[in-house]
Amino acid sequence: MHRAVHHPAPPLLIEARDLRRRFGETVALAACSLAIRPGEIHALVGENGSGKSTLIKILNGIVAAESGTLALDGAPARLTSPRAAQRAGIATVFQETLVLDEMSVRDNMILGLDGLVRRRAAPAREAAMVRAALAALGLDVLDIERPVGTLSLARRQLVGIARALLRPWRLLILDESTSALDIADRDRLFAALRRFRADGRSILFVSHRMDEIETLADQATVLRAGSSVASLPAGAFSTDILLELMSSREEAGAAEGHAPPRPRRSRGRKLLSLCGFALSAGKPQFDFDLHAGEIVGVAGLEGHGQVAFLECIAGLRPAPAGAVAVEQAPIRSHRDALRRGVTFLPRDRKTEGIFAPLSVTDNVTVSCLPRLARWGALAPSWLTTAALAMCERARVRMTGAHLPIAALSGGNQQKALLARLLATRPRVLVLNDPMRGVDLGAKRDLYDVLAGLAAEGIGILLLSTELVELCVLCDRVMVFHDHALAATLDRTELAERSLIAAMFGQPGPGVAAA
Amino acid sequence: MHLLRRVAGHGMPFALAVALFFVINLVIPGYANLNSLLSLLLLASLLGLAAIGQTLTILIGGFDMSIPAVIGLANVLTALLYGAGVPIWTAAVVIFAIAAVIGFLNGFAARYLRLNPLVVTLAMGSIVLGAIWAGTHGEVAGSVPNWLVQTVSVIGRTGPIPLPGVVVLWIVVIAGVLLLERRSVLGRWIFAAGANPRAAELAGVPMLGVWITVYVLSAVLAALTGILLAGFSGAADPSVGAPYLVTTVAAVVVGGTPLTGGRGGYGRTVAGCFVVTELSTLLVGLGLDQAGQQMCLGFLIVALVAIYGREAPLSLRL
Repeated sequence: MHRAVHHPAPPLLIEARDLRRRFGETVALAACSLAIRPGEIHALVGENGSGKSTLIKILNGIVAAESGTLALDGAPARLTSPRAAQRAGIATVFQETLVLDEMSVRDNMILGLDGLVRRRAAPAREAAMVRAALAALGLDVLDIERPVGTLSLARRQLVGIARALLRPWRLLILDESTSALDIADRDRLFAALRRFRADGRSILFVSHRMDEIETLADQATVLRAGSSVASLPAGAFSTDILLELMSSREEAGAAEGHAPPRPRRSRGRKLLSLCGFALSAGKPQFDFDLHAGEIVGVAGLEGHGQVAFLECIAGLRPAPAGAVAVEQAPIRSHRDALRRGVTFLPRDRKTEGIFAPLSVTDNVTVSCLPRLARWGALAPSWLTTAALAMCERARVRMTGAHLPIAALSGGNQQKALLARLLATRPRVLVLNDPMRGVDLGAKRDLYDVLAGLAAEGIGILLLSTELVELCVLCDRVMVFHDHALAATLDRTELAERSLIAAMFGQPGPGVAAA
Repeated sequence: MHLLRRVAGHGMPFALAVALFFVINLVIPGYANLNSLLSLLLLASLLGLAAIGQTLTILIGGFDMSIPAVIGLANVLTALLYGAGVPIWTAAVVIFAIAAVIGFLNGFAARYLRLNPLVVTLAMGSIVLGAIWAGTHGEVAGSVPNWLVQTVSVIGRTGPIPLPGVVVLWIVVIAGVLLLERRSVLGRWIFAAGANPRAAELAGVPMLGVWITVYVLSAVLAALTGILLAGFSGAADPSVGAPYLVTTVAAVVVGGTPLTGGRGGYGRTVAGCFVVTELSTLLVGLGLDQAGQQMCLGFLIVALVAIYGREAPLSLRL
């Protein structure tokens, strides 16, 4: 598809073909191609996990591709380290690059340009360089001796971009570097980007704002499930077309094949209710009820507030506005939540979930020990019996409950953690991406288990980054955008296309009125 | 099979303890007699009681460096109070209550205020020792009941049992601690808290309660050791606990409980207590003084931590 659009004239600045990269069992990039011409603003679009960040890491020399070819200026090239990428003229601005809050703008920007001992430039020249880079983005007035920590998020983003401009570069990669900018700042940045383009330099930018892509990009490449599915020139793409390309219809069919279709049922009684809730003061407030037997999905692009939403419900962070309650009893702390039967499955199994050296039995029973004990004492057989019963409910496959949980596969560890939640006899499960990094067989088991639990009358809040999963499992899905509830899609509206539209802040069916 | 593996896990330090006994016998001819064995048991018991707190605090991911100071405090208070005519049991209750307050403050500061447990307990130890010196000016006159002396004497007996009281007490306490570790809610929480504090918090383990309880236990058992030591020396000395800073940590490390928490247990420390006590005896036999012994134990800790620290635990290699 790329072929059709090039002209013979200047060689491509970068041409990547059929890049492939796996991490463990997950395929991050399957067959990804990208062609960037000199003097071009190129947009890279795709939903969470479509492979954007892996592609950017390959272009930065942080990650190596397993197969595929990469050419710079028409000649084969290998970017084996971040330094090699720098030498090739590739500058990247990641989402958060200014790391040292206490240091000045100037020091943050110079960081890494100096040698360990020797300064490359005299202080006066250094300051001039920093000012020039900032001026290019319209930040002439910024005091470069100010500590970075005192700047607004938008200013920090701009300083981060200016920092990348200090080195000689030909390709500037902006990884969601415009998310915090207001209109005026953004327009100044865009003007600067257009000037760079006029100099014959190129920009690759990742953005979740469709309007930005439409106004700025000369070319847009769409990634879906690790593969580039299209690369279209300005004029050939529109927001609608891009959203369509991002949704993966084939995959939906594949997932439906192994997840049981859930029968529609009438709602049970109300378990959990949110009243006048908002993720931060000033964002539109909303009400929400979770009913018995319901699976409600939670979706959003990375960092749009959906995780914070789960954490508020689990009592792990205070609700910035409004109240969370279980049958009129408010949840103000994690302890409250546990007492009311609201249990939380954290996202990171290793650091927040398992006790690696302890046995499966200990791992499963840790949350329900007082209930199993008599006068604080426990017989090993009580623990084993309880653990085995819960493991069976969660379909943990193992050779023995006395083995350390670290001996189980990732999928079975995840099921064991679900067993731990079940052992507390919960009324509400709050699950933060439980199927993440889990093999297919275990996924299928988990789908069954969750559907079964809902049928028993447990209310489930399920955050997932796999949209297919949400479409198949959920009765309705709450979509977050920009730290606010953007839409609630019910079963009749649930489709990957509509989810993606809502995640990208596009109006569609079922969008809640603010 | 399961039991076998568990015994094999404890086997190494116990084998080391037995081997060392024969080594001492070579270095000190005529060592192998009933009296030596009783004195070994006696010294190991005192160390063993003091090392319970060190083991439990290390299991939850902390340290208790205030153990020597609490031992010294209990030691001095025992002699002072009993010498002033206070009944010994009343004195003990007062001492345990003070120790409990010290333990509470340690646990509270380390967990609730998130201060580094090593620093907190070192500082607490310094405060307590300072207070003793300020209160007594280093001169303590007092006395201890005769039966307390008998309890920690090699020739002491416990009713029909031909062992000094402190040894019998230790055996009972070992059983108690092992039951606590394996068959109580608190025990399971202790291991969870040490294995992954974040996960334990999310799983609803009352972390603050666990930390405070463990530190209170540690301080109270250190106080018990201090009271018994008053009988051992017959006189009070604020610095009587000083050697226990290194020896309690050494006993835990030699036993094979990693300093990272969540693994190991008191069963291993019991073996470690024998090894450390024997080692001290050996070093004395070789003509080293207190200072030389301390140095050797210090080297031993570094060497063992280096060895254990490098080897990935079985559970993570699977």
